[in-house]
This record gives sequence, structure tokens and C-alpha cells, in this order.
Amino acid sequence: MAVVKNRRLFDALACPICQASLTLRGDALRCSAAHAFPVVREIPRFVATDDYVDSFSFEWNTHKTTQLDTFRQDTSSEEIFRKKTGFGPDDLRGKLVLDAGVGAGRFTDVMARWGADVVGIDLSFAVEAAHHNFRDLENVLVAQADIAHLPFKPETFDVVVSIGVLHHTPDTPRYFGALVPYVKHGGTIAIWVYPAEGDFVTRKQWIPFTCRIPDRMFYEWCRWFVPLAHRHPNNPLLGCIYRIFPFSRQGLGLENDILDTFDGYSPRFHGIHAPAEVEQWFKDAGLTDIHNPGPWNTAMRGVRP
Amino acid sequence: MVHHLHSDMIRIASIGLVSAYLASVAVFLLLSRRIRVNPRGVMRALARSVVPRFSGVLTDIRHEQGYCHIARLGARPMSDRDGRSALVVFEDGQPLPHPHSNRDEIRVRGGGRYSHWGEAVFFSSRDNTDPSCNGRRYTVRET
Repeated sequence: MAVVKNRRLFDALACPICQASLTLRGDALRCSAAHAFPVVREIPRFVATDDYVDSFSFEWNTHKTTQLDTFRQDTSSEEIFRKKTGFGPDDLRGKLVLDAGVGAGRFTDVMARWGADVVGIDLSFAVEAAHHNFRDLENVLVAQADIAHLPFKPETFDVVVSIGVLHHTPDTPRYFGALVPYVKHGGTIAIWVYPAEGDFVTRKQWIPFTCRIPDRMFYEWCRWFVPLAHRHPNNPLLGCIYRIFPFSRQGLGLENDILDTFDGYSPRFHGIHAPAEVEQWFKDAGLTDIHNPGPWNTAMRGVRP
Repeated sequence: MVHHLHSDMIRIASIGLVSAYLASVAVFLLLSRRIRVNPRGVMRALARSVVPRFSGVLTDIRHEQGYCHIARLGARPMSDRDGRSALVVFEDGQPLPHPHSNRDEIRVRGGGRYSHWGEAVFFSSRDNTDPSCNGRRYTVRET
């Protein structure tokens, strides 16, 4: 079965309740205390639903490959990953890495290409898209799990990354704190969260209203509006709308901007944070060598001593 | 065929409903000042999107002082007197280099300095020759 295609990755999994080792019996992973977790469509499931992240289930299964370098035939995600984590291929080759909030696998794609063994988890059904994208790679395992109840033993990973994810949880610092125990001593954790500035602040005002729009309806609207904005980049009325309702214009193509506009307004939670606040989470978690690795001021990296 | 018609109707209804909803939320966010924008800037942008942009040829060019010449527009797009003019003056199709210039600077230094003030354009040619007889064509266009 594909879930055990790489022993090192499979052995990283543990019961999220008692943290005992898991074995595959029948169509479920089971621990010695008889806790069972189904494997559905080759993906281990440690949660029953996609809870508060249904919009991500929708968007990543609609845009399975839009942001993946492998399919885009460029290095746009790699460049973002380097800037937000400061990692390069030499930092991750041969390392066991947790991608917390894998989505469709944009950054797992980069790390797998660099030779890391990656476990990607996500609370949403985005895991279907990620599994589809990496089903042929032996160095990637995808599982559906909640950051608050991770299915691993403590001190499992050389590196934990979570880029653009934690601000979509109900409590960003608490969920950050939940990741730290899974970093090995001497291992590194790198995160990026939304900064409390610019368009992120404006979007936060919209979220209580836009997250209530049914995903399919809002997506249809994005598919209509964003191409319109693309066709008229200098239109003053659209410029005026942008100030009130900042839509995506990242220069990575129309499909990316449709996806990113939907992504910017549909999630239930949209935390925004100051750099000092993020640094404090790292200090409170007892991490050392805390630093901002690049130009994104709420990107932060630290080492577990 | 029926299926396509049905999905098109759902799509159009989604766009209409979501647009109306977002517009009403936008009004609420603006009125409650949760999102702050400069209302004059917004009104100006709205006006510019519906009013046709002004353009024309400067014909009746008269000397004012120094290197400065004046030409009447015969219309009144928003000028530097009312806010910030979006009018560009072209010399043989090339934009003159210094818009929104001080009148004295135009008179004393010239060099393609210009200002749109009320219904008139105060300007100098790029090489400080007399634009009324240097054989070049001067046009204006609102950007």
C-alpha cells in the first residue's frame, strides 16, 4: 500500500492519542491501545472532518497544481520558500521535514525536489490534491491531521516548516506552540504568518463577511472579477476598488490570482501579527538562534536547543 | 445543453448576488470607518472612469512672460487649481518633462515646464523656442 512506500516516513507516524507506534492492519492504522485511524484513498486520516477549513478543501482541489513549480515549469514557489525560510537545498537534503499545512503541496514540492523526506499534513481535504501531486514520489507522505493533535512522537523532525498556515487557525500562538515539541533537539522550525500591515489589515475587516459566502458562489465571483481586473490593469475604478477590496495581482498568472483572491477572503480565521509578537512566541517556546531569514518581516526561524 | 444553461444561470446568479453583497459590505466598512480611504481620491477615480478623457490641439498660443506661453483649452478638465491635473502636454507627440511646475519656474527656466491652471495651460517648449512659431505641434491629453 502506498502509505508505507517509505519506511522512514511511515515510522514517523504515531498515535495522536497515546503516541504509540502505528501498524497498518487492513484499511486502518492501529496502535497497541486499539486506537484506529482509517486510510482512505491511500491517505491516513487522523481527523473525521475538515472542520473550520472547508474553504481550503475547495480551493486546493480546484487548483491542485496552480502554484506548484513542477507543473508551472518555473521557480516562483522556490523563490518564495527561500525568502520566507532562508533554507536552500543543502539545508534540507536528507532531512526529515514536517510541512504543517501542506495544502496542495507548493512548498513540499520544493523540499522534495531538494532531497528531503517530507511528511505533509493538513486539516483540510487539500490532502487529496497533495497526495495526487506526490503519489509517485517515495520521499513524500501526506496525511490528514490537525496541528493541535499531531500524529507523531515528540522530537521526530529535523525541520518543521509552516508557511502561511498558522494564521488560519483559531489561535496562532497556541498552534505554533503545538508544533515545537515535534522538532528534534538541534532541529529548526521556520514559519511565516500574515503581517499586521497593508492589504492584510484591510482583508481582516472583510473576513467576517466574506467567509460566510458559500465557497462555490464566491469562487464563481472571483473567476469573473479577477480576469476583468487583469484585462484593465490601469482602470481607475478598479484601482479604487483595489484600495477597498485588495485583490491578488502577484504577477504569477491569472489562475494564481483567482486562487489567491479566493484564498485571501474565504478562510474562517485570518490572524495578523507584528514581527515582535512572532519573535516572542519563539522566545516563549525556549527556541534559540531566533532570526528573520529574509525580507518578509513576520517570517521567523529558530532552533530547539 | 440544458445542463450548460443551468450552470450558466447559477454562475450569473452567483456573480450578481455576491457583487451586491460585497458592495453592501463595502459601504458598511467605509461608513463605519473600518476601512479608511480618501473620499476625494475615490470620487476623482470614479469620475475619471465615467467621464471621457479630455484631449485636443493647442492652437491659440500666446506669449505670457519669459519662456512662458499660454493656451486656452476651451474646456475645463480638473486642473492643478482644483487638485492635481492629469493633463499631459505633448510636443510633437513627446510629453514635456516637467508637469505641475511653478509659474515663475516656467517663465525663468522654461525647458518644457508646464502647469494646467483653470482653463489654460502655461507652458514652455523643451528648447525654449517660441511654441507659437517653432513649427512644432502641441497637444494635450488627460491620462
